[in-house]
Amino acid sequence: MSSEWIPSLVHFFGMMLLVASFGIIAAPQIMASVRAYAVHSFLLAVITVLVALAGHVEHLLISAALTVVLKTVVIPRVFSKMIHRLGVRREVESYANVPFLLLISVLLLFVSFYVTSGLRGLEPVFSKEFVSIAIFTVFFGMLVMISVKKAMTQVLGLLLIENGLFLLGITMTFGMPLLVELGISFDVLVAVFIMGIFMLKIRGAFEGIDIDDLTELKG
Amino acid sequence: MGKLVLAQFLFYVLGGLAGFLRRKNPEHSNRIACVSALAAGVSGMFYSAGILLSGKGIALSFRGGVPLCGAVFLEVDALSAFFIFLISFLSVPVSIFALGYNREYFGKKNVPLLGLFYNFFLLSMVLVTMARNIFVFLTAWEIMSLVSYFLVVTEHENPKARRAGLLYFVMTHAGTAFIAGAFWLLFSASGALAFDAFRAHAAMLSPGLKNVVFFCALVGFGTKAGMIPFHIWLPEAHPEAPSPISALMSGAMIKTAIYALLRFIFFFLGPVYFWWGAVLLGFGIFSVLVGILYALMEKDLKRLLAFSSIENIGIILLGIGMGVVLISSRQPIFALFAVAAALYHALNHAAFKGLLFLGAGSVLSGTHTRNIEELGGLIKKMPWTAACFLTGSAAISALPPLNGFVSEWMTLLALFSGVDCEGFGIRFFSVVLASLLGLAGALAATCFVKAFGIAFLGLPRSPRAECAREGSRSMKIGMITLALSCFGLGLAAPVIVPILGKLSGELTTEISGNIPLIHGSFLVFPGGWSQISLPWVFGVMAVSLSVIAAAMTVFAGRVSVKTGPSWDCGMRGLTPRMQYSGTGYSKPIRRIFSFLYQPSRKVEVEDEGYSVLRTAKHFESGIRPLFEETIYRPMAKFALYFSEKAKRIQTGHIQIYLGYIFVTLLALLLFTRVSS
Repeated sequence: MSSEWIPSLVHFFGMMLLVASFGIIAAPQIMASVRAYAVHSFLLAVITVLVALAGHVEHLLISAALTVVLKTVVIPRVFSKMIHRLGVRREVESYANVPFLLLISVLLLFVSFYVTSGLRGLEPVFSKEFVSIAIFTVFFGMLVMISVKKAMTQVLGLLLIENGLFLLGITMTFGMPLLVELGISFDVLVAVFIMGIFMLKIRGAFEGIDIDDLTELKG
Repeated sequence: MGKLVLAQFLFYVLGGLAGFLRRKNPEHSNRIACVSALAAGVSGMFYSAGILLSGKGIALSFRGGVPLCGAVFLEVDALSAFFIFLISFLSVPVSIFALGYNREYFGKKNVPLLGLFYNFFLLSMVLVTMARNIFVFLTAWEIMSLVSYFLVVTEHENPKARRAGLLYFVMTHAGTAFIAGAFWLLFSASGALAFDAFRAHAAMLSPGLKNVVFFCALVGFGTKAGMIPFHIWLPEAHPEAPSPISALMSGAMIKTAIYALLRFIFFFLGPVYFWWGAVLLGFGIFSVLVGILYALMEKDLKRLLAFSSIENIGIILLGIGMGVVLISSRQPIFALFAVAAALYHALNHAAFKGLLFLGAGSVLSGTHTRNIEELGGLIKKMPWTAACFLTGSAAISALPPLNGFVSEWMTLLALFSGVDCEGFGIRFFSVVLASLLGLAGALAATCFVKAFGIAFLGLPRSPRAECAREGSRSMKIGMITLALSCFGLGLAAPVIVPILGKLSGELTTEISGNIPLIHGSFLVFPGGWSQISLPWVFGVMAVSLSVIAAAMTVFAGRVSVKTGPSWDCGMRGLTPRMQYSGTGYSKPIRRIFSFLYQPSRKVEVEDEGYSVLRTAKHFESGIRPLFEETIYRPMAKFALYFSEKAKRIQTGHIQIYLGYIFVTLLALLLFTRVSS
């Protein structure tokens, strides 16, 4: 396999990753954003594979396989089960409308490129743009958590942040040691389950998973 | 020696925990806790006395060291040994007393937990004096504060105790903030965490930094010591704790602040400045006068004792302050005498205030009230308690031959020694301060005449006082031990003063030679114009008393006693409520010092149609809590106002909080980008 076309392919998938991110926030329904997340994670796995091939780091392949299994298959499935059990199929409710959020996302993209451009000491082993994209993904995850009302989508935001950190790991150091990555993947899975249980409890207590209801807990 | 130190630690830790083994049986678990504290106290007395006598300290070294602390972080030098002696000495009778006193709590409170706190409280005080490292010191200091907080709120079902606990908690942590600030400044100047490094670095500190560190230490430790105006927690918290704990808090805990202040002033801050002494003297005399004046107005026996603790802390501060002034006036020998007086008074105060608090505890457990207006006639019901309380009252009023007299005499002489210095201010103020201290002594005597007279003499003023019972045997033993030690500490002055002189010489001067402070059984002031011998005074008093007694029996023969009704001025139906009351007794003082008390009275009158036949229905009188209203209430108001404003950012929306984090992160990243 010639390694000249790998960087351009990676760049292509990087762009797709951004599009998938936007898809999460632009999706009309919760299930659609979960699907967008699955696509996002799948693209992440593809990028990981490409990086592994280009840099000849075979253990990244295992990480990629894990990502595919966990984040594109298991977690979306857990989500869809949860949505069925909780009976929320309504559309995504957010504090701001979608065009505005997209505008902010674009702004965040600029910011993340700006902040990463001048930082010295950042020496990515792979393509430099991916640092910015990873930071953007983290920002974007936070934006999702802030702007959306349903607890379900907040979990998605958290998972997005995790994806961003994963990407940063790959581009900066060819991924973390395998053991750490295994641990992180497992943590993410457990976190999703725990948050699922929480959401059931929250719904039991407040008859809804609207986070606004949590303000009642304030003293 | 080192083994005894470890034995003391072990007794405290194991004794505190072992109580839980007999959780079901409070009697046993209390006995375990108290006896182990007793054993620990005895071993503490042994090694600290040994160190004081030999002058050789011990450093406990831990092989391999501990993170942040190094290998040697606990050490007992002469100064530590003195305060460990004080704590251990007081803890022995208090533990004996607690054996009986804690019966009160059987079945109502978690007795093993009380025992755990009790032992850990003592342990933390000992550790505070041993710590040789910021980290260890602050940890021990905080444990001491927390454990004593839990002890204050032992009776947490009482809202007053909870309020007192909260006040104590807030004040002590505000104080700790200042202490941590002082340590932080020292750390950033010397770059080390160990106390030895501070001492080595003391001469290199800049004057401005030294002043700031002194200020922080004074406020921080002053809060713990109960120095006015940082005292407000003390009269609330000390009375609410169980009586043995009150005795320890007043007798020992506030002395740890004095210990730390001494270490800061003389060890960490190198050559002292004149104005520090002036500030200490100012706070000292202020605490002395205001403390005793508020004590006079108190009708709650334990609150009265707590205010009197403030007075005694003031006397100790006067000694230290005069020491600092005299050092900077180049009178090292007088300075040595002044600091020795302060140390002696700290020890004496532990003895007699411990005794008085135990006495108050005995009264409390016998009558279940602390209000002296409800007491009276207890001398017949509780003779042992009365005798011990009288001894304590005499000692605290500085009557010879008791211990309070010796240290107040020394403090007075130290204050007078200012007249030998150069400079008008110091000569003028030394006389003024000495006379004010004299005034405070007289007021203290008035105060304790009131406390003893109203509580123990006369007729019972309430059914509670009528049904009073003497405490159990262990309570009596605890009190008698302390009462005897009040005599002992006074009579043993010729033995104690040279030891204290040596210790205070280490603090104040580099003179290692012997300063003659005693001559035979006489205590000699180094200035030469005064000397006294307590054993002689005691002997003369004893001889003359027995001569008078003998003369009485010889010349007056047998005195026949007739018992009859009191003369009632023809108005029949005298009741115990018509007796002289404590409020009435202190009325002249209230009139004289009305600028401080700002007394208020409220009389509701009912006249039943005839203006001549007025019958007062309701009478209320009180004094205005000046410091609370002028300093602390406005501060609390401001804090509340500020937090009300700050509450706006706390919406309760999780998204808003995430947004705060997000915006902060973005702002920081942009900031680093722009600035690079």
